[in-house]
Amino acid sequence: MTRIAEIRIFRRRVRVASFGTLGLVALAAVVPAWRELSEEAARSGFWQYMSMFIHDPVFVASAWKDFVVLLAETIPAFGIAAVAASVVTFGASVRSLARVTT
Amino acid sequence: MNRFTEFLSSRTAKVIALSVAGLIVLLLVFMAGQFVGFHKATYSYAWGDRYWQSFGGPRPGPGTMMEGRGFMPGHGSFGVIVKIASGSLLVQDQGGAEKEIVLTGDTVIRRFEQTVAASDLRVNDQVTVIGSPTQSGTIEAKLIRVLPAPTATPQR
Repeated sequence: MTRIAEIRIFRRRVRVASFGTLGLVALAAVVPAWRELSEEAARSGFWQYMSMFIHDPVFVASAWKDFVVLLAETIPAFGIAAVAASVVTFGASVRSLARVTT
Repeated sequence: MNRFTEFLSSRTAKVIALSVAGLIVLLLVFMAGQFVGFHKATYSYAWGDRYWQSFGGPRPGPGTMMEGRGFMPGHGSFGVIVKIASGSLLVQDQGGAEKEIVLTGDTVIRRFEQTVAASDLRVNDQVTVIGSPTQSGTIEAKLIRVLPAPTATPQR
């Protein structure tokens, strides 16, 4: 086996290990991120306000401006960002892993 | 003209178009954040001012006013009614902040599928409110929904 082939195999192993670890970390991070999203939404009242729209759509529509601003004020932005970041990182690492191994 | 259409279908043009679109999205998100932040800060300041006038004590400085809570939303509230006065309610949210909800002739109060009168509201009722913030730190209610009382979980 030539030296170049050895280096390629070594690099491939390093990439597989890196992307695999990153993917596992991202997958593990989904659970606490989702928990944070749920807690943040419950704390801010986001679900309660959303449920108002489900129960009283006609009345909520009559105060839609206040409702939209209220949702924007209470949206659990950090939780959504955390969940999105962990899911996207997991997806990207799986994609990169598939590229390296094929 | 031919070179222009060639440029438009090139990779560089796509990158430029995507960058501009990304910048526009970022700008819109930034503006939305600024708008929401301004509303929350304005209401929180008015609420803090009202609280200070009611309870006195040293006036809290910026940053200490909402210690550990961040700014509060001014377009609604949810929590428990702790006091009912003529034309207004005091609602305590989960964080312990008490917001005064002003009732007007246009305020709609809903309990399950029915519209009820303000006189049907009781202390300890769980409510969710949508309304407009006022300059005096109160919320002018437009819609109040009375939620069913939370069921007690069995103790083990």
